[in-house]
Amino acid sequence: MDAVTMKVLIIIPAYNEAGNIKRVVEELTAMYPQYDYVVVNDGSADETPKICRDNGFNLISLPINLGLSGAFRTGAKFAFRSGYDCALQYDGDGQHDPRFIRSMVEAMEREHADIVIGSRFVNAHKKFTARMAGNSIISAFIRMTTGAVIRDSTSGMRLYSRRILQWFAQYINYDPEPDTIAYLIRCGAKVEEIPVEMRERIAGESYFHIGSIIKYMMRVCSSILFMQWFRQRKQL
Amino acid sequence: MSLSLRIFLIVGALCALAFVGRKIRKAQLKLIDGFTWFIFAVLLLLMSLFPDIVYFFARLVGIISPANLVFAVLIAVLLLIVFVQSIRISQAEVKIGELAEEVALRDERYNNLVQGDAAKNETDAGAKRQDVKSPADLTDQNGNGSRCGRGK
Repeated sequence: MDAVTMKVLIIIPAYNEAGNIKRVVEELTAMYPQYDYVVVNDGSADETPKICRDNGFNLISLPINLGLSGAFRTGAKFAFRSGYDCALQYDGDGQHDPRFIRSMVEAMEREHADIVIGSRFVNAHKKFTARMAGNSIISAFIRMTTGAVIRDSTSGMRLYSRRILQWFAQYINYDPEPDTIAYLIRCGAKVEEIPVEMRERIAGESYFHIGSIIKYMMRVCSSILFMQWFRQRKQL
Repeated sequence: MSLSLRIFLIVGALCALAFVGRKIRKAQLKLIDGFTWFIFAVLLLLMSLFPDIVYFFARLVGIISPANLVFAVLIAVLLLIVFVQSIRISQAEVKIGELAEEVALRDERYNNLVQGDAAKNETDAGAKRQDVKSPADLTDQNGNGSRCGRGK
């Protein structure tokens, strides 16, 4: 089955990615001329927006820094309003390997999934690092509260269907984070995991540097364990 | 700690939880902000359901009336919340300011483009002209107020 039947938007949130963005977008467009993409500049202090304009990349530029959620939500709003069938959350730092995008889109079509996660651990095992420990803890909490097995809960490479995008675009408390995945599973979303490989980032600094991992874990875990129960459970 | 104080704390905690729950269900509160009050309510419940904890710490720091420790803890927690919120209000004000400045500058640039386009008339072909032409028509319909058009 050919994957061009679905209208796909690749959303690339970029915060201070001057060293990466050109390479990332060029690699992507060379491999997938059939998919649309948009770079969402999240109020970068460096040359990121200038590089995008000079190279004629599709760009939405936020005047202030909103964080990953705000940047992604901007892209989700654009995708929803422009009639895309699904949108991919894709890192601007070159960590994600575009080779696997096609199989993710195909999986969404084939399985009629609402969320397809590009998962590092479908076949491979987790390495033992602080980040991977966090990954396992979050996966365990998701399993505890929803019963669903998500092997790579913190993967930042996720494909969302249109009806999920609508919620991202219209309501608060939908962040492109594992706690939202847990909530959506409870709402009846169908989640698929597709094996991908990821690379080390080459230049610049990640959204999640070591200092913010604990903060991130606090936010995500408190949300999955406690706060999700207060939310109104919508039916997909 | 008297029974009436304990009941008062329990009622307070349950009210806080109910209020936070309602706000989150209506999607009017961010989850992380709700979590602050969730912790606050849990703290109240812990102190009222297990007063032995309060007695222990009151003896430890030399407070004669355990109720005073409860008040001290509540004041400390509230001060912390106020402090964090004050930082966030500052940051939010800065961001609103930046947004307003950005909108004003874009308005300015947009008006210049519109006027420049009218002056240049039909000579300039290409993508840039197309971008500007439709908003130019829009401002003509709305009179001079360029802001009216932008809001819609």
